[in-house]
Amino acid sequence: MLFLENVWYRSIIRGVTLKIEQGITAIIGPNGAGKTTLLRIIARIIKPDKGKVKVPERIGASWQNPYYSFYKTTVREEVKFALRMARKSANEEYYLKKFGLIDLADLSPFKLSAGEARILSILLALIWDPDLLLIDEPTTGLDIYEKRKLITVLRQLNKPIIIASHDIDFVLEVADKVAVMNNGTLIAYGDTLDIFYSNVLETIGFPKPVAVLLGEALGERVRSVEECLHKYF
Amino acid sequence: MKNAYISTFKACLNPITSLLLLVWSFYMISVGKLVPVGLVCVFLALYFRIAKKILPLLLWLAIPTLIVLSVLFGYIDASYITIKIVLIALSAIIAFTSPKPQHVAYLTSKIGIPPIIGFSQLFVLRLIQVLKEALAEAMNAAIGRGIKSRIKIIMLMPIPLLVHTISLSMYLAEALYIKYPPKMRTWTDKARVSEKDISLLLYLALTFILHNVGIPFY
Repeated sequence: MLFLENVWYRSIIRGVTLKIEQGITAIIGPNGAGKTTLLRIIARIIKPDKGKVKVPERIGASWQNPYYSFYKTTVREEVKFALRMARKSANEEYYLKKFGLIDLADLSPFKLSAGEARILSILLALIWDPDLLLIDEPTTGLDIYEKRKLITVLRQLNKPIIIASHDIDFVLEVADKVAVMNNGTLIAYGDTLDIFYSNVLETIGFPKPVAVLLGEALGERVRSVEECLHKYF
Repeated sequence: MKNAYISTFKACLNPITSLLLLVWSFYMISVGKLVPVGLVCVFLALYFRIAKKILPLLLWLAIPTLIVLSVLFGYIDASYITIKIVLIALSAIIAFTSPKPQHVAYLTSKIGIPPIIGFSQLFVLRLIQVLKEALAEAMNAAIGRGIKSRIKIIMLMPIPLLVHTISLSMYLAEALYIKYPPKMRTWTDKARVSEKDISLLLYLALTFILHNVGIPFY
């Protein structure tokens, strides 16, 4: 699916080698770790100074500020336009319902909340059927309910997705694989639960999520506090 | 009331003086009196300490213009036209940046225009930087949506750019407003006529009269 071999870019990315297959992969790390730059290299926006990059032809993206993706006066018009651009004959109602945006169809996309705008930008990036979807900092400005909705949307997509985020609670719930970056280098890559239930996060100065601490205390690997409560209470 | 923005701009002109400076500059340039305009603009640029900041912009404007015009009209004509263009830009920048935003806001509010419009000069000054960043983001977003045609991207680009710039400008204005304690907050402030304004207006009037009564100078 996606293969990076010894990729260098200025002093931001230092020798990253990564192979990503299906599912949701999250790139986590502190600010300035190189997450967004790596995402831009994958999107072929930045050409690395050194190294091999093998990525799919069609890459959809939802960048940090979703409002840049909007051009039309209503959400419905936006989806219609995206369908027209993708030369699809499907009805926009189908997509609006699928992504829970039907009640917002007649609002201006620029007036949507951060979470709604993010979901719309993901929908717009998906309509042209990309082989891979990139999402940069998906939880910026989202409240707890919007985060829940986004997790539901991402889980139902059934498409390879790469997320760059420093929201570790969100990543723990949504990602299948995690790549941990610090100072431009990839320090760990593996199954989400393996990474979170090891000491990797501590090495980059991240505290373990409450769900992980709870899981460790109970001797279970859980992804969220809700899952823990559901199992034991 | 002590004004909240005084510390931001140390030197300033009365907005009416700035407007008169702009009108005078354009008039004098149009009649070919470039030296007095050049002198006053260079002096004010040094006085307001903006010379260093605007020099790259003026060079960007002057060098390509000079090259293109030299090919078309020859070196002497090209130099003359380039100096005129640079002086127009320089006088416009000085006239636009020299008044304080709240002074402009005071005047505009007197004719029923919302005071925030008076802050537009700050927004415009930031516009180039904001647009540069926003342009890259908006282009990446378009590519991320599968829009590959450059023409299509260029056609669509103004919408997110405009919305983003306006919203960012509003944040900037709010941040400026909220930065100071409530008692000091104000959108508007009446501009005084200072010694600087009087000296400059005298110079503008003198050169204007000298030119119009036919006394040769420069």
